[in-house]
Amino acid sequence: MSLLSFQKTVDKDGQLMQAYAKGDSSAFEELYRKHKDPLYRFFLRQCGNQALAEELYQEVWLRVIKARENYELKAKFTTWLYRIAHNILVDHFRKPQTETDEETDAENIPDNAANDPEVILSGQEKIECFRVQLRVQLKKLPKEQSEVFLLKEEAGLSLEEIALTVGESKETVKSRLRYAVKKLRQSLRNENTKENVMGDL
Amino acid sequence: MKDSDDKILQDYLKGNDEVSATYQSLQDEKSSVALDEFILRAARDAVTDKPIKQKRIPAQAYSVAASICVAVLAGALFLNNESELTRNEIEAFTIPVLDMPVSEMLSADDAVAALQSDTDANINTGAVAEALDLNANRIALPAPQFQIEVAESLEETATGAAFSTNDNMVEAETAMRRVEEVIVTAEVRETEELEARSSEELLELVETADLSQAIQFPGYRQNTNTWLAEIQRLTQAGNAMELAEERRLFAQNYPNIDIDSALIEL
Repeated sequence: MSLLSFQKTVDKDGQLMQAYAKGDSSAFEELYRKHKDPLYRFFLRQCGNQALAEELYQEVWLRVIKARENYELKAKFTTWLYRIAHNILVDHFRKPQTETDEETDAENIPDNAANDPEVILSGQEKIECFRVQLRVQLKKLPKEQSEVFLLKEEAGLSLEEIALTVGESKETVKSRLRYAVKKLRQSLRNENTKENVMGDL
Repeated sequence: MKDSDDKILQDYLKGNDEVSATYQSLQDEKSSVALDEFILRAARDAVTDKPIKQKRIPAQAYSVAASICVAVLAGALFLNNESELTRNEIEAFTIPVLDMPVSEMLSADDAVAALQSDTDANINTGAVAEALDLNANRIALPAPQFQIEVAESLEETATGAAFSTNDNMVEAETAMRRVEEVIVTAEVRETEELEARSSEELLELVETADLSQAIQFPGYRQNTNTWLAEIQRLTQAGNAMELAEERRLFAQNYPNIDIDSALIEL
């Protein structure tokens, strides 16, 4: 992404937010349509619980609505949005966790359907197994590592923007992302190897 | 090892990594429609709530009510001051005869008669009244009676207030001062009025050359002719002591006039 296109994006989202602050609800709708799914998945991957993810996701947007008049066109809107999301997530994890919160949808997923030698997988099923495995591995990552990975994948933030969002240095973010990618890559490689072995058998 | 990790990261950041591609294929989860509608409705309500926020009618109403209260208080203060002015005007109107004793108020004729038999300034007052056939009752009674009442009420207010709180002490002192001022002003104005009337009547008498009456006028010393007429009368009457006193006073006041020569010319 060139600097010019980046600036245009910043300007567009920020201007939409400012237009909403002035009373243009259609501007908010446009912003919401653009950012809603990545933000939702950001929470869903972090929490692993749909109900909790929806609750936190809703909390972010309500804060955005509430803080519309305080928004300043200084930072990229996406950075501002995910900074709010990060703070809500941190607040949530600081709270004493209930059993319901701890229970995740990912835990209900079979760890690795491809491990069962009795199961013969089709091509589409194999892809689905990879995806499930990736979700599981993502869930197993430390929160800090999974967060920077999701900020990169879902929000499309650069290392500098991620650092700004999570309040850490760029090097720290880089390190966390390196570990996250390595682990996920390793899990996918292992899955692929197993599949190959299964195929040879 | 570290170099290979960096390479993995660099490949990932460039988008040349299976992890990113696999993850992107996972992006089929979306927020529920109900949740979307709820958030969008909240956003619209927040914007349409703006006028409600701006309403702040209670605060504005309070400010308007406060302004009205201030205006009413200002009006009340103005009316109060107006009533104070009215009272002062009444006091000023009744000033001329305020200092007259109650005995004079009730029997002005007797007081005038008593003054006639007195000497000096008192004689003047009585003589003026008699010479001009002044109806003391007609002049003094209506206003003085009212003035007395005003003064007495003021004194009562001051005295009564003096027994109450410290704040009332100040009011009492103020009221007492007001009474004193009224009395002093009345004395001054009464004196000035009487002297003016005396002078006017004396001048009339002189002009009519009725000196026989003029000598009885208490203000005879204000005019050389009337004063000389009085000296002449005393000379003819053989009242040596009074004559000597009058001649001495005349010489003192008019050292450039020879009394004997003036008497001849008179």
